[in-house]
Amino acid sequence: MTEGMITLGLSAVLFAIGSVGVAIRRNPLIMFMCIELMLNSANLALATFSRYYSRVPETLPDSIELASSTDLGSATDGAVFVFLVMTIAAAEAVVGLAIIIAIFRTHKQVDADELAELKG
Amino acid sequence: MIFAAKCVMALLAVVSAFGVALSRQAVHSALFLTCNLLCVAVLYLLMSLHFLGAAQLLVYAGAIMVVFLFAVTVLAPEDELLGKWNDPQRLAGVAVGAVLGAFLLLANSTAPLLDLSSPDFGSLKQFASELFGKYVFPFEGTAFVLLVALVGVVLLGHRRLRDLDRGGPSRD
Repeated sequence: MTEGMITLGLSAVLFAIGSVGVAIRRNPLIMFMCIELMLNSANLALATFSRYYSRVPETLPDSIELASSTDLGSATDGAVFVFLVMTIAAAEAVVGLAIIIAIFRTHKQVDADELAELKG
Repeated sequence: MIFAAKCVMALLAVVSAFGVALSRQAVHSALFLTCNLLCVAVLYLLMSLHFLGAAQLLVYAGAIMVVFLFAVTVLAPEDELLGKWNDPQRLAGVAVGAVLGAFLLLANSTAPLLDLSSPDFGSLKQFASELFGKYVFPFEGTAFVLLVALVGVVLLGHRRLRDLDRGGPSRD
């Protein structure tokens, strides 16, 4: 087991835990936290690939076909993606919490099972 | 040494993630999520992604968690009883999550991971030249996204929106 496998496996486990949390909880706030957990685990996978994914053509699996020998990206590509995802996550968290608070203002309770107005 | 530190952080992250998903009180979930994000920040630092570690601390563990804790305090949701575990919907959710995790682990285990990085990997200079060179348009795009989010939040939080509600219980 290499060092990269730890964080990659951790990201898979965190994503699964987050999806279970979204599925079993009824409180929108906690569902939202679980979504943050999933976003964060995807970030971790991106960072791991940025750091450890092989850029030596001989070590890549046969199924990967390169457009050119220089098509392997640079080491910081993944890190830039993580940074962009963090920005989107911040925007998403703020908008989502504003929506939850707006719902709470009119309904005086937050329960994902009770909110069915959009169900046709 | 770094390997051991990564193992400890990964273990702590998994435990706190279970805390997020299974805590009865929302504030406990929020604190567990903070712990999880801090563990991930330490993992970034151990991978010598220094900028990402700092950004994770500031943006996630700082800003986003403050917003979450603020929302938890405002809403003060009551304790959620997790109820019985033989609820079929809940069991289906857990099963789907477990299958998803198993397949993700399976797919990830075939990735060719090697430690081939140059010694200056993760340096701010390299990161900045990528961000403001090759990725300058996506970077400007995030500014636009943040602006739209700001406008949206102001609209959502505006008091006059209440008048549009159909029969809210109170109109103070």
